[in-house]
Amino acid sequence: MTCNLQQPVGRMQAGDHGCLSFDTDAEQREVLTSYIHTGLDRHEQVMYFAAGDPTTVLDFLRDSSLEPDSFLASGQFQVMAPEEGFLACTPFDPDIMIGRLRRVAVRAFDAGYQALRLTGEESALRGRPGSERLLEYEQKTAEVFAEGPVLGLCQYDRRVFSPAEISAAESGHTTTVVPDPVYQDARLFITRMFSPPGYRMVGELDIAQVAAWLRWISHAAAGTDTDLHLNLAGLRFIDVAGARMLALLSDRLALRGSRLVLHDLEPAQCIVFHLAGWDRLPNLVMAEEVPV
Amino acid sequence: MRTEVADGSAGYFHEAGFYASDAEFHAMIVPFVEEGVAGGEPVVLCYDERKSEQLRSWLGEPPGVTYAAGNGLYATPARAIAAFQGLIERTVAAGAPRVRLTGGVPHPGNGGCFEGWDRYEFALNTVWARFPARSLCMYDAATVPDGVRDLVERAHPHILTGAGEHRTNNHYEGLAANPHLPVPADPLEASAPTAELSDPSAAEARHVLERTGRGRVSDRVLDELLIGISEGVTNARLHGVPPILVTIWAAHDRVVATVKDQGDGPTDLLAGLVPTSKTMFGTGLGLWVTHLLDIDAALVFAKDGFSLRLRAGATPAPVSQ
Repeated sequence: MTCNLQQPVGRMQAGDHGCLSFDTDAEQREVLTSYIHTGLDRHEQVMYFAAGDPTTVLDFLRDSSLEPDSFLASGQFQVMAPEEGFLACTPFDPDIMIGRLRRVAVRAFDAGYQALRLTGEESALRGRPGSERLLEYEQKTAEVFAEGPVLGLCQYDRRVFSPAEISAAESGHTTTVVPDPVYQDARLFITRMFSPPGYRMVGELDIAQVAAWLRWISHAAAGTDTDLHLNLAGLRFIDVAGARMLALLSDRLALRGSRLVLHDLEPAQCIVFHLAGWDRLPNLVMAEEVPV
Repeated sequence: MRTEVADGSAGYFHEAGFYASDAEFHAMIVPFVEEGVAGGEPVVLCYDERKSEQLRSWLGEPPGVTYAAGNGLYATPARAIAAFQGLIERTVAAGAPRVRLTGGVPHPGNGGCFEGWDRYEFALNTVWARFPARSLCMYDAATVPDGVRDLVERAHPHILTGAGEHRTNNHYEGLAANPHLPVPADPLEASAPTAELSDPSAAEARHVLERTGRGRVSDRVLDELLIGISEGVTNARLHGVPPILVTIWAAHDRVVATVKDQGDGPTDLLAGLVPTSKTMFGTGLGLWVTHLLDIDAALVFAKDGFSLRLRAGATPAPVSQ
């Protein structure tokens, strides 16, 4: 199985098996808050397998104005400590875990929930006996997702797992999950980027959208005095008007001493900047590396 | 930048020469170069390899003379203007009193296409009016088509005769002239279109062209076609008269696309040849960027409307006119 599709967390549906690889606690919390909130709204049972103290999960949900206590009381939301979740059986055995998920799913459906929504912090298994069977477990969970309205979001902390392990994990899922868009129109969506702080633009930007986009990005950038980073790896097309707006944005940022840094602009999209001479603007940096 | 030069002429001096033999070519160009060298004016010779070798045998490699062989400077009219202008600005900034340029633009007589170069020849009189530059546009009288010769004679304020005599050109029509020669149809345009779109958005036109053209030309060329058609539709929607019709023809190794509206097309002679960067949202730049790409872009002025035609891929067989 390969995984190439990036999916905003809010669009996840029953049957999805998503992989969230994150660099920062802020990114993890933004995605998880949306994931859990959506599930509770849809009357799904939400089960969280934590890598540490469950209180940490409950605290960040409270910080994001999602009050979990009533859902905990009703059983719609459950947060499992490691010894209740991934470490309940030592060494870790994928088949035992899969069997447990099947039983949980049956109980959820019997209780009238619309779906079972799972998420787990895979770092709970790091260095534990049986952890070498993690990818086997990921592959076998697909059977559970195919049997009923079940969906899962597996969390991989890039500070814990190596790039090769992250890559292997992502390839074992149907989608890689990204935060929900903070801007969206008919052909473009923008998600927050956490390291470095900025935004990831996916889709196309042309003259029909530039006025609305420039208003939004100018407002979004106004709250920070640091450089504004844009990951454009997913920008399939930009016309002269769109490139001009980026040049204009770099001028505005210059007024407060910060720069516009464009990451991973495709060669086809570089053409417009190059021909118009905007790649030589002193305040517009065209970086080659791809921030996560 | 200085605009006064030692011989009393100011600004841009635009001259055409028609030579009927190597002897006439020699009589016209050697003094042009030697006067430049003597006056400390850098000279750039923009000819193909064969012509450049001929010039080297006559002139050698004197200081201040540059042979810019390979026709790369004449890739498109917009690129030629940008490249020459950059060269003039850099050279004058370095202290040269004036720059001398000589070369021959593409036309059917030398194996090229003249589309776009008609406007180029007229446009230089405006674009470089204040620049301390002197250019000598050389045409082989034996091969230049009559229509091209007629237009060149209307576009140049000065003429150099085969005997080496400089004359004010009585045929020069000035800035009010109509610089447009008819654009020959591409052979594909006689076939059934692969796709037709009425009043599309720029995005719709791009998406259809991408589906139609993928695999028929290289990905890089298709990317450039997508930029061109997007800017063409944007311009038609902003400045043209509806309805807008986008037509795409796709053969196995080439793609032709037109964006047509019912208007008269741009009245600005310089549209697409130089940037007009003072406008909002990139309008005024789109047509110029399109003309800088490695695809063929032609403005087609007709009684029933104006079209931007884009072509890429294998060179089509010539169409008799």
